[in-house]
Amino acid sequence: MSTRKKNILKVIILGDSGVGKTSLMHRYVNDKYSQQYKATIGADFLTKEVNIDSDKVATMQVWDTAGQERFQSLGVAFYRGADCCVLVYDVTNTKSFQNIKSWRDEFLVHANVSTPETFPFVLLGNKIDTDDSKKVVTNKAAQELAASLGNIPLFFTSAKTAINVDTAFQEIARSALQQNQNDADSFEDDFNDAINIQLDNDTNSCSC
Amino acid sequence: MNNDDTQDTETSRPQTPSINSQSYAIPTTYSDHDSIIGDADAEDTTSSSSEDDGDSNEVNSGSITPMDSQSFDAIDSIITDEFNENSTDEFLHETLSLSKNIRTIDNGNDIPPAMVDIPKQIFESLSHAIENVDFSETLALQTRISGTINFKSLELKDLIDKTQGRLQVLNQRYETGVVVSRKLKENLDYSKRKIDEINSFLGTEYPIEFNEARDKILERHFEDND
Repeated sequence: MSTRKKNILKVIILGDSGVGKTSLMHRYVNDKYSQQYKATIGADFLTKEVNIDSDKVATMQVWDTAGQERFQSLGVAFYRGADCCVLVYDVTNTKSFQNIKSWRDEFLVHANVSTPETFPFVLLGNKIDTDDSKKVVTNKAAQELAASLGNIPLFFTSAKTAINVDTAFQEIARSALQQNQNDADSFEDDFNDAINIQLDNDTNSCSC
Repeated sequence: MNNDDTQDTETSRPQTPSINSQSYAIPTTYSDHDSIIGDADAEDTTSSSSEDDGDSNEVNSGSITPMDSQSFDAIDSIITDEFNENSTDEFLHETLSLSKNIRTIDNGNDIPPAMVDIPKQIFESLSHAIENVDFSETLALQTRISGTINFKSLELKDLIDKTQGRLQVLNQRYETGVVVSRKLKENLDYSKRKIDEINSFLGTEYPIEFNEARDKILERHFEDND
């Protein structure tokens, strides 16, 4: 089933309001950054063609979600079918770091993934361009969180100065592609069993 | 293969599946029963009579003919169209009715039966139905609209809560005001009554002084006004 998803990799970005989800997405897709803050309403997505390991091409569909509860909507309909989930926190905001687990749990509950224990997550600590005096989340705490979440990849990024954004999304694309292929394989496995069309104890069935 | 073989194949179909789920032979279909092979009763009659007299031409006229590629394309399009256009229940219903029009040819035939991978067909139809950019854009638009509605709803709820709070405060102030005004009225009535009594007493007991004083007050009042 190589044509199953036309190699569309669906990536969901989650995190508290104002951590820089939209900025990360725009930095990665459009290589642009805006200082002006504008809350995301509902959800939006951008697509980008990505080369993975120099030999695989895929279309990455990056879904940016609303962090503010008042702008969240439709439950979490767009979580379904995700190939990778990006959890973003702000290194200058402790609360956003503490809420990472909640975001992950909420995703797993609503996304209905087949194997939650192996589903790829990537943790991003954003806004590392800020002064050290303003940083309240230590690298060590972030590494411990990443380890506790199943040794998920951790990147310290800055959408403002484009630090580590491409690197992080390369890893995200790789994880998403792997998950996509795993899903496709498991889907094929589901249809490998022959269907028994003979009715049990069907002694009176007509043979014509 | 002669026609008798075809007839045997037709009348004694094996009861156990000899193919896996991904390869079903769907060799022929007839939308119009009369034009292609007639109805089932007619076919049975023809088959039994052909067994009796061994006339192969009659068997051919009533038996199943292998489908050409165009016919298979027609089946594919029927399956795809019906799947796309109908809901699940309708699809099941249509599939059942379609199955009545489909006959299989066993491998005993000279011409190998063409194969249709039904799970693949269904899967691709589903994939094309739900996995496209339009669907994602629609979903994103829907979430934005829903988010806006959600935000506006919360705003309205906040406004309603604030308005209800203010209304409650105003109600309390009104009730307090009603009590105060009632007391004021009682006090004013009492004062008026007392003044009337005093005026009456003074006007009776000291009429000259009372009138002089009253005139003086009235004159002073006029002078003040001037």
